[in-house]
Amino acid sequence: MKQILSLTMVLILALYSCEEKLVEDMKPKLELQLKTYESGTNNDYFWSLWKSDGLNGSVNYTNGEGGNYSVSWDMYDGNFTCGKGWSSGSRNRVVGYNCGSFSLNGGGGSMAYYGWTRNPLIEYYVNEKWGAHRPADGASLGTVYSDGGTYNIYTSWRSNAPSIDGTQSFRQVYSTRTLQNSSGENHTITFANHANAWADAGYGLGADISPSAILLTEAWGSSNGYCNVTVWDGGSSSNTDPIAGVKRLVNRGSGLSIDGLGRTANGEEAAQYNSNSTNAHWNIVSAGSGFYYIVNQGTNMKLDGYGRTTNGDAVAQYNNSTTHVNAQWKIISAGSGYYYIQNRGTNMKIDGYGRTSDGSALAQYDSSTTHYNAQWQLVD
Amino acid sequence: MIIATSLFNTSCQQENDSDFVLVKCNAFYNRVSKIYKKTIPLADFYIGKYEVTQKEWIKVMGNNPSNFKGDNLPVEMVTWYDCVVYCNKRSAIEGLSLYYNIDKTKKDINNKSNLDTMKWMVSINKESNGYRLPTENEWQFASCGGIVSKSFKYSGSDDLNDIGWYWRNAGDIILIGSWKWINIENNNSGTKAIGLKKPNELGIYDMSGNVREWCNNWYSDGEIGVGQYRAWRGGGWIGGEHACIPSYRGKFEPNGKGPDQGFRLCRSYVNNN
Repeated sequence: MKQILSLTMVLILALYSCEEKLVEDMKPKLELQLKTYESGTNNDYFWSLWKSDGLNGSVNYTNGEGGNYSVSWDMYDGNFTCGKGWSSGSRNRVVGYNCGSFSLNGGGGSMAYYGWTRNPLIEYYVNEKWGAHRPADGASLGTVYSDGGTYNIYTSWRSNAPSIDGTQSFRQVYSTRTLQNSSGENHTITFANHANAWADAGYGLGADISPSAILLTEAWGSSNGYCNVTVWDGGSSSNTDPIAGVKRLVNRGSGLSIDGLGRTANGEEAAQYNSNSTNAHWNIVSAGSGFYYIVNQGTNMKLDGYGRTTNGDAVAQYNNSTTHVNAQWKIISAGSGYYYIQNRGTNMKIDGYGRTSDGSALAQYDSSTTHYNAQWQLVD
Repeated sequence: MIIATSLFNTSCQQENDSDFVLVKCNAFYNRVSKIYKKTIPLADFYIGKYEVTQKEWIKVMGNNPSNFKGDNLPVEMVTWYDCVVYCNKRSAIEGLSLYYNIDKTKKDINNKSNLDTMKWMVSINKESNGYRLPTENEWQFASCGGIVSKSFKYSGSDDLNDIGWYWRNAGDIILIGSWKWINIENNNSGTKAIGLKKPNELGIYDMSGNVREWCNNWYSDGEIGVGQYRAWRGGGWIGGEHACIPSYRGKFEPNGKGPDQGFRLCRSYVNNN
């Protein structure tokens, strides 16, 4: 998957210029002009085709009926990606597909379910078929069993893609079947099984899964081949996590919500406020192993215990990039629809500390407390 | 009191003397900064009024790595290593001593980044009067307006639109709603010529937005140790408003580059200037 680095970035940059507009002196167009990026909707499915320019050989992509597409390439020494699927990703999607034929000779590539998340920026693949080289680069993270097969999980770093902080390095996380899946039969990819396994390995997907997700055919290097595949919506897996999602965290004792107050420096205190603002909304995202990150919707900062262990110590906030245990929380039922929020690093619970004034600091208290001040309602 | 002094009177070797301001460092005055009232042991320094442009880059380096092309646009797609090479080359051209010792043949064992495959050995000559990158503290002090700070939220204003190019205003139309890359990429967004917006209290332009600016030092905090990332400040045309606040600490692998990653020059104020 080495080539995917440049391919991915180039694809991203190509999107800048997909609408060719007159440019002023002040605003010259990007150097990376790629006129062979196309995307659209066909039979209610999102599709896209990207080819690198100026290289030898040919790539022919054709949309078929329903979710079908076919692609063939010959003596192609560049990179291409193409596929059909959905304009946005979904954690609980079950992808149905039937690959009538697949052949990849030379170079590298795969047929995979593929997409992106943001916050943090992660590129994901579930590889079903490939050529001579099974996609297995990067660090190995274990295995997951899903849809009748065993997959190995890998991760690696890539660089230079856009994020809310600007250009950022990003992570690839992917599952590759130990054996290629068969042609000519209906199969499913229960994506949540992979997403959960990645999270359990410490590489959970980002909070924003809205970028497109397709059943991808990709090849690079000097290769030829063909693929004819039909994709469909295989339904939704039922293991939706009731805790995850954007919520307000409302204290049982005081009724105040946890509020980031718009603070953006690492270590700054989180507060309590009688508010329904963006700063009082938090995206609760799985960090794997039953823990969660709690990410502010106004600033993208995470709640962080900051390693503090004294009763009454403040809860801090930390840049979204952190994956430290201090920024991971277990959310435990306290009954009656309330929850304790307990830090992974220290076992301290988030506690309102009886404070009732807007802007007052959010505290922590040791794990023994069952006080209402340490109980929180998750309000959608 | 002269707080922003042209280099013109202090060095006849400087080509673009008026493009620098001398930043006096008596105290840290920005009330919204996180280090307000704390003693910052900063020596006076010069800092560029503008982000380094492509014209300046081409003149020294003979190439232009930028994605957006234009003489007065800030150079981008430059790694931290590219920038320190530029500093030394420009210092040599202008007869200044070299601030950096760069050894490309040795790997820096203190560089712990998984992604940085370059890992050049780079050390500094503290007494040098040559060009260098500002430290985070210097950058923030200058960005906040130095000793004439008016304690603005951003560098020179409470309204980012007055002084900076960022994701909402760096394209064809003003974007509303939440940060979404697809909206930015479809808005023909990109860098803008230097100095088009209002300067800050010290007469320095584009410290909030346009391109993110490399700083000299490693990024480190309570959870991330030295050797992973170099720091950047100021935010750029891609990023959110939060990144344009002077106190926001950005980080990037030293060999990272992007169409929103540039830099601004700095020089120590030494007696032999």
